[in-house]
Amino acid sequence: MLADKAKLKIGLRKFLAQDATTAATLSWDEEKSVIDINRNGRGMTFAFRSDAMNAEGDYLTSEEKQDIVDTLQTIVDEHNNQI
Amino acid sequence: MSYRNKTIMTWTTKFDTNLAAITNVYFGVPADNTNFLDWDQYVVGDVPAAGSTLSPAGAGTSSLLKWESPANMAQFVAPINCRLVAISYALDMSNPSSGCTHIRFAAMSDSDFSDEDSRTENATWTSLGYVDSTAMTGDPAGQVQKGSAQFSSSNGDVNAGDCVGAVLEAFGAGAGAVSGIITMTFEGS
Repeated sequence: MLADKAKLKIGLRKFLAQDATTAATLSWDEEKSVIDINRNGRGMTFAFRSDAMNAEGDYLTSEEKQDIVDTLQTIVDEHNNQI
Repeated sequence: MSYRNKTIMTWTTKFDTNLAAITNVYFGVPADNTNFLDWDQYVVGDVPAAGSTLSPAGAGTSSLLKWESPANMAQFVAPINCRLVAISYALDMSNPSSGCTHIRFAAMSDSDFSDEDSRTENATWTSLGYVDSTAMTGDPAGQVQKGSAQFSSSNGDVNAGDCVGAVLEAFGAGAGAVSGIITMTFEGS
């Protein structure tokens, strides 16, 4: 399973752009490797499977997963700061 | 037009999702998403009984919007008046959470969908019918399942031009990563 950071960023930006006036929250369940973005009852879920790989075809490390989470959190923060 | 009566139409799609939480109704993303078979968007709520409408927990701007009916939910547009007569599914569940009892596969339609409606009006999705996956107990192991259901109710009626698609919901606990395929059969009326 490909977990391309750029694709995840695109998916998140498109979702947030649907509603520029409502704040969103991001939660990260490290044990289950699930990222949840919720915006007042609407949301989207990203999950890393055990065979998740980066765009180079290498298995994701814990550090790479955390980097993706941090990147997505930054996008959520940007969205919230523009409200 | 005589060809319409009893005409059988079948729609099918593959999907990949993560049903991380209960009381979330998951559906597809727009086709211009980079992973458009990844059904990772949800609205907080429950799949309603056949003939009833989905009532999102989020009010106002966070409710379902009209443009999301064709862009997200719909996998099929009824070319003629027809009725849902069957749903079937096959799935690969890699690691459901302890307490997950089943997944619900529901056919939904937007029958309140007219030309030139504003794209930002709230949408109303109506359940045509659903099928539950095989019941599980305790801490289920990763598994594959298949199943089907048949219907003969006017709750499954859709008009030509209505958006029709599928949504997913986990019960008991999250179902985790799920990949699979859904097929729906409609009969012309």
